[in-house]
Amino acid sequence: MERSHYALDKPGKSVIMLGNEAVARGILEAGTIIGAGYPGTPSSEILKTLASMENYFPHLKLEWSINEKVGLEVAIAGSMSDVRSVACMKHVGVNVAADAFMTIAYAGARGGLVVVSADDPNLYSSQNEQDNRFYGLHGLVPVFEPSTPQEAKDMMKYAFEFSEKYETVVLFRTTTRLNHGRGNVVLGEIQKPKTEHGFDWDRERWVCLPSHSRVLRKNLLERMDIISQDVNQSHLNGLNLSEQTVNGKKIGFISAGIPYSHLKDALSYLEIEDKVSTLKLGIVYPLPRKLIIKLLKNVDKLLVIEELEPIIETLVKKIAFEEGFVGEIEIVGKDLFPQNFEFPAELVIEKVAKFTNKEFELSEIPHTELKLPPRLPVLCPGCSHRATFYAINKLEKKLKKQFINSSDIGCYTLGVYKPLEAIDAQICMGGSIGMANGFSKLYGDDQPLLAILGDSTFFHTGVPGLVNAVYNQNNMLIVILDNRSTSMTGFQDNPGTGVKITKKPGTRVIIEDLVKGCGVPEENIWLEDSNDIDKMVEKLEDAINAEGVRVFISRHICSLLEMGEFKARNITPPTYKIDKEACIGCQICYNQFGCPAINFNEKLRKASIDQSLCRGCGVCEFICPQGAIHEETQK
Amino acid sequence: MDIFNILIAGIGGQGTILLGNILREYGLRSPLIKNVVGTETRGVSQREGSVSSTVRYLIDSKIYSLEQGYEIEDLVSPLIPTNDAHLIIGLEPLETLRNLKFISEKTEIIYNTHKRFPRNVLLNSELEGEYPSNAYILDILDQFARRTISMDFTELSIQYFESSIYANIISLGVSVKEFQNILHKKLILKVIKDYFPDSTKNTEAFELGFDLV
Repeated sequence: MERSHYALDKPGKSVIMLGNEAVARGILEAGTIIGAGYPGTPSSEILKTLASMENYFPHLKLEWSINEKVGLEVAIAGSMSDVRSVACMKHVGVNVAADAFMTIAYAGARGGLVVVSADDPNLYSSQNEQDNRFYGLHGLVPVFEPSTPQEAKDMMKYAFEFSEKYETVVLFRTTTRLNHGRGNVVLGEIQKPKTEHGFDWDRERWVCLPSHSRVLRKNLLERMDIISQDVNQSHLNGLNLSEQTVNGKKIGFISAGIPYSHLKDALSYLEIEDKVSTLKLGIVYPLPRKLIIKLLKNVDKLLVIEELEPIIETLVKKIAFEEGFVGEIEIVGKDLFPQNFEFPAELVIEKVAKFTNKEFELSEIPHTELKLPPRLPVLCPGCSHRATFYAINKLEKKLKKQFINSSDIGCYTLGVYKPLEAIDAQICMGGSIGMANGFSKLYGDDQPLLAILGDSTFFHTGVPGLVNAVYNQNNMLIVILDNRSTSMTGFQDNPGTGVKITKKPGTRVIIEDLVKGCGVPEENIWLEDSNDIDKMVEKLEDAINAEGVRVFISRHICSLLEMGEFKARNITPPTYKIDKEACIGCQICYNQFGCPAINFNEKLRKASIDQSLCRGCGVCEFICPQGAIHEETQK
Repeated sequence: MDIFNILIAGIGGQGTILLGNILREYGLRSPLIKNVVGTETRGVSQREGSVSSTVRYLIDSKIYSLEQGYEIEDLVSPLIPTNDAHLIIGLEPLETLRNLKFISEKTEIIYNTHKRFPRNVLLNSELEGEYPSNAYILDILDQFARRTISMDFTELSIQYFESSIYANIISLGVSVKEFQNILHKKLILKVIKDYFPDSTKNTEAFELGFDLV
């Protein structure tokens, strides 16, 4: 089941695809040339899948950009040059790219230009659950939203046509359940990319300064007027009118994306599929006004089903007001549905039943009187971040000072949980250094200020914060957790590994050189192996006691990648064992270090290592004050 | 529309995505099953957090495509509604209990009794809640489900293969034995063979599970 077969399989063939793989196939089928972006759950698999196709379709020009803004700018250049281009990112990534997004919306697209925003209702893997359909309203950019993997592929292919036809950027909005849903996809034809392309020196369009942008702004409004008319005929929007009633009322529904699939389930569950009218939106902005008026004319009451913010609901109510339906029709949305989190399937069934006054009874819902503990994610066994956090915590105790540890987005954010509790503030990508800049203005040199972030995050938006610190003399200790990978999102490469998205060699950017180039003096730069714990503690203390802007690079490869390397080279990693006689039950390894492979037996008052979980990093050997932990010679 | 719903619940790293993939690929190849949908947990929870996969077989339906102009009628949600699971593969006791709402008198549960305590419980984190006993959980499952088969698949995997990682495939073997009308052994084995570069141990693990019941 090689991923690349998605590229090779013939049109007409059925394949089970992850939503993101279907999006990638759609991008390929459209004859797209440029694909750029930054990894982030739930969007990461899109560019990864495209990269696996590059061998077979060398016209694909793909990259992991260092951040979403650069990614979108790369795609914009493609569009300016008349080639189809896509930028892929998670919802919060669009915030980073928003500067480019809001103005390319004015200039519009030449070659088809699609921005994928993978939203995350329920915050499965994100710091917030913002609703990026707002970016469509904000920038006057049409928003597409698919309901199934098949639709995702078909709609993506069409999005490029649409973009070129109207010379508009298209925002392709998905949610986690679509990105990480799987379904049957019938493959389509792979279009050949345009062979002729080139830049056009249309400065009045591509140079967005005030005199030009005033004109572009008018064009944008005119363009949206035309699109607003045409979406009434779009095959992506489906209006199904029914003349029947449910309990004496004519009922209508409007929905899109994943909630629409729940609605379909609910209607079939309640056996009222043919008795109600539905409007399925594939284009969620701008709304098809004429279709909505037709629907309003046909029903007594209308339910809008959308996750997160009441965007469709508000716009539909506006249309109803303008068209004089107020008082005639009951329009309901967030009065029935929550504004936060993802909808469970049964919630939609329950609410639809309530709205239609249908009898609906589940068989008894199994329940337990117990309150179940959550299962929080943890740093892996052998994770080098744990070693760094342990060293930082140890120093905090030794120096009898509580550090302010600003941190960032990545696996290491899990360092906030027990037993490490080594993170005090975290907002956004690159924010660790940014916040430490601010803290340094308020707290004296006695207060250690740490900014802790990963290698990929440092490249993403950490560097401007560092330059700011050097320039403004905002003193801090920046700890870069360099595990040679963008691990949380699936081990993507980054400038620090020097390997490109296609796994071909690029040019490696050496963090210590970059830091030096930003103006940090050489004596303020440290580079240590994260797992060399004694040396880490010693050198970190030097770094904390030094003055000015300091950078400590804690380097050790991600343990999951290390295991992969061992496997590839047929090496069995060592395992460690705790000598029961020597263990005094102090629990430092368990209660302060907290590797998931280490267990503690309360009755025996002894710690032990779970051999099936141990990855042989050996750090625990050095933290045990009794010297009770040793490498096992015989496995 | 006739739908067969499978839920796989466990911990990040136990192979819930993998089981989902095998069962969905089976659905695609099986002539009995017209369409397949499902979903899985990815991202931060894959670091030993709570995860689940769903597999929904549409026994009789048309494939829905915008491009080819098929009807929208057969579009279904990737999520399973309350009470609606036919088969639950619970790879960990607490995670099985967490998905109680999907159980009804039509549900059969393949239940791994091997406990993995969350770190936050072991370290007496302020987060409330207690880890229930296997007896307590089995009592509830018996009360609500049609049938439960419980066994320590992890221990079995370690015993036979010196590694815990085959617990998921062993429990798949049990599931296939229990649902032979829908899950055909020969085709599942073919999918397993195609899925892994070297499928010897996984095939053995499957056979072990199949012969357990």
